[in-house]
Amino acid sequence: MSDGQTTIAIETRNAVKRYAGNIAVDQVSLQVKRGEFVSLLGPSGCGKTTLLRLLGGLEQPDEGTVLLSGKDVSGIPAYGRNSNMIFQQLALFPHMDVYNNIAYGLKVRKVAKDEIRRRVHEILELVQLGDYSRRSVSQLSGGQAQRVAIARALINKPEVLLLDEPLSALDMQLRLDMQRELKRIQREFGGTFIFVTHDQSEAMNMSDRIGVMRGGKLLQYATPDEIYERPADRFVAKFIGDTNLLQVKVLGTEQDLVSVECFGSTFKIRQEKGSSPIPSGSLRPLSIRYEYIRLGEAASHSANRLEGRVIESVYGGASIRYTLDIGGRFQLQASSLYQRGDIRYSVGDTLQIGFNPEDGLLLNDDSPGNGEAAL
Amino acid sequence: MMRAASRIVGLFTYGNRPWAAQLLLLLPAIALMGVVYLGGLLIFGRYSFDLYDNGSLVRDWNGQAYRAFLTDPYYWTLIGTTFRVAAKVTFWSLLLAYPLAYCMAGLRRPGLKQTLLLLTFLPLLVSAVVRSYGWQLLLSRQGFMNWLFIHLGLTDSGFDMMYNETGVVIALVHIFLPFMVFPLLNVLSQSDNQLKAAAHDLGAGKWRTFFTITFPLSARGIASGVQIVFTLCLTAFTTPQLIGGGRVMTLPVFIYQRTLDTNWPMAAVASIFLFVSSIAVSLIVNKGADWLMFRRTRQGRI
Repeated sequence: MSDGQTTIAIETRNAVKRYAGNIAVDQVSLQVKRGEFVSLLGPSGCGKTTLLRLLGGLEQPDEGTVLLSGKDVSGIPAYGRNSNMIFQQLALFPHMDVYNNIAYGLKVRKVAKDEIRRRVHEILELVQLGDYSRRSVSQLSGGQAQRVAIARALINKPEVLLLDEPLSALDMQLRLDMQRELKRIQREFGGTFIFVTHDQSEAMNMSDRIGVMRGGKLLQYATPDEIYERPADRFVAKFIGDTNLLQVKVLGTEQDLVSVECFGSTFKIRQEKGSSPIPSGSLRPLSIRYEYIRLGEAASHSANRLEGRVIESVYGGASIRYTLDIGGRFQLQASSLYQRGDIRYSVGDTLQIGFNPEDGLLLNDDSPGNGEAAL
Repeated sequence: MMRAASRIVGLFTYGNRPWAAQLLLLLPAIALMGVVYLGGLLIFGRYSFDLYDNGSLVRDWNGQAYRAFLTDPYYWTLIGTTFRVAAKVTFWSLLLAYPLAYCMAGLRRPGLKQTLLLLTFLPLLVSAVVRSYGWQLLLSRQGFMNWLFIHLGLTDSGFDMMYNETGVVIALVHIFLPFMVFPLLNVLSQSDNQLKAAAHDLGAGKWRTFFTITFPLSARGIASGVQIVFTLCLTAFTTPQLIGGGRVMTLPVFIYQRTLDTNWPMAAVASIFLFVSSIAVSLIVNKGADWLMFRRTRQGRI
């Protein structure tokens, strides 16, 4: 706990975990600051749960180190670490009531009985389950069981709270409620939370930072805005939010504008300042978010313009999603905000399509070494 | 045939009588149990009130056999031996079966698990008579066990393991072990690894996790195993008869001897006593399992 280290709650350095020859976590280095809410996001089998278990000490890394508050804890089992985990199936002890479930960690640490009682009631207030201490866990609803699991972990005042998709079993509405609830608890409790999920909207809603994983690798670790605006590669772009991905050929660069060619059309794409120049002739994925595609009148001022025909239109309340055919050569998806009275295109309509140079993003190909991993 | 059967069932279920079909399906089993089991009990119950006088049976209605059985200290030593043997066998088989079941439940390789299962259950394929004779060969003065003990320097002249309680207990433990392993394996296989991980995560070491999570949650399996083995021991006849050689007098052996010398009232009373005590043991063990699982932890005393 020397100076400078104190702001980092938990950290992995080049952590590697293999299962029977398969690599589950591949050279992951991750730093989580004290008080941060971090999500680990990725498709199933991407290694996010294994990484969480490494952080919690339920698994030990084959290579690399795990540091808790700057102290090397690799090799120390879960019961020797001051971090707590909330499991996917919650893992409440079925033979104990709510009180004894929550008190378990304190009893193990031989805390005095009076203090246990005081702290259990305190934490039950925090999770808003004041009167439930003598309930059997089988009598709890899904949301209440969640709160008990959270209380059981938080009562130990962990330096880091690890959450392994605890909301995945809940229905949509309860899930949104619990997301808010978790954020509130984190604010009031002031702890460091690491949350594993495969649901990108959940990650976007709750996190200060998101780590996107695939095939055991941490592809990008940044704020939600950054991940959405500047995804590290093709996979991240596709996984977070909806985007058109086009394979384009780079023609040349003038100042910060890159000319690219796609099925005979030429577009100008603005490049970030300071990014390395892209060699002419190379093939790159171009990402254009659905909502950045402008249609009709709005497209007339765009720098890149196309002619297209609507082949599908899906009404989504506040927005409409169109599938557009561009001269039979390729297709684009566009999502435009919709209010009553706005123009609404129907299937078969031909219209102007456009996007601005700053709305397109030239991506790196998928990070090397991922092979044909999930998705 | 099928059509006739369904027509009969239809006859009963016509209108608002779905229970009739269920009753009809249960009828064969109920009839068999009623005649063989309940009938047997009633006949025995009747015999228990008869009088045994100088080797002959006198029809009567008196409670002399009951009085003798419950007051004569000789019968209490019989009851004591029977329960002591049953308790010892249950204790040792639980002690041997629990680690075995725990290991088997934790095995990841299905092939090894299958082999161990087979080895555990193999003895059930051999009749109790054969197994008891086998144990006679092993346990006798000149038997293999004593040969081994003498060569290991544990004893000079060998231990007495035949025709006494020790031998009976050893043989019974072997015979009834699978009945203890199976229910334990059942609950331990279902036991949730995530619960163990949760306990570790909350700071509990391996032993603490075992005693606060795994063990209480296996109480149902322990209860079933204890019930089965204990009641099987109470009623075991072949092994105490063969290994005990008449010197280990348990209630089933005693009942057998009384039926031979036509003292049916006493045999009946002892049988009824066995029947009632088996039920009592089952009920008590059930309550005990509840206590082990819930009461202790609910009071906040992990």
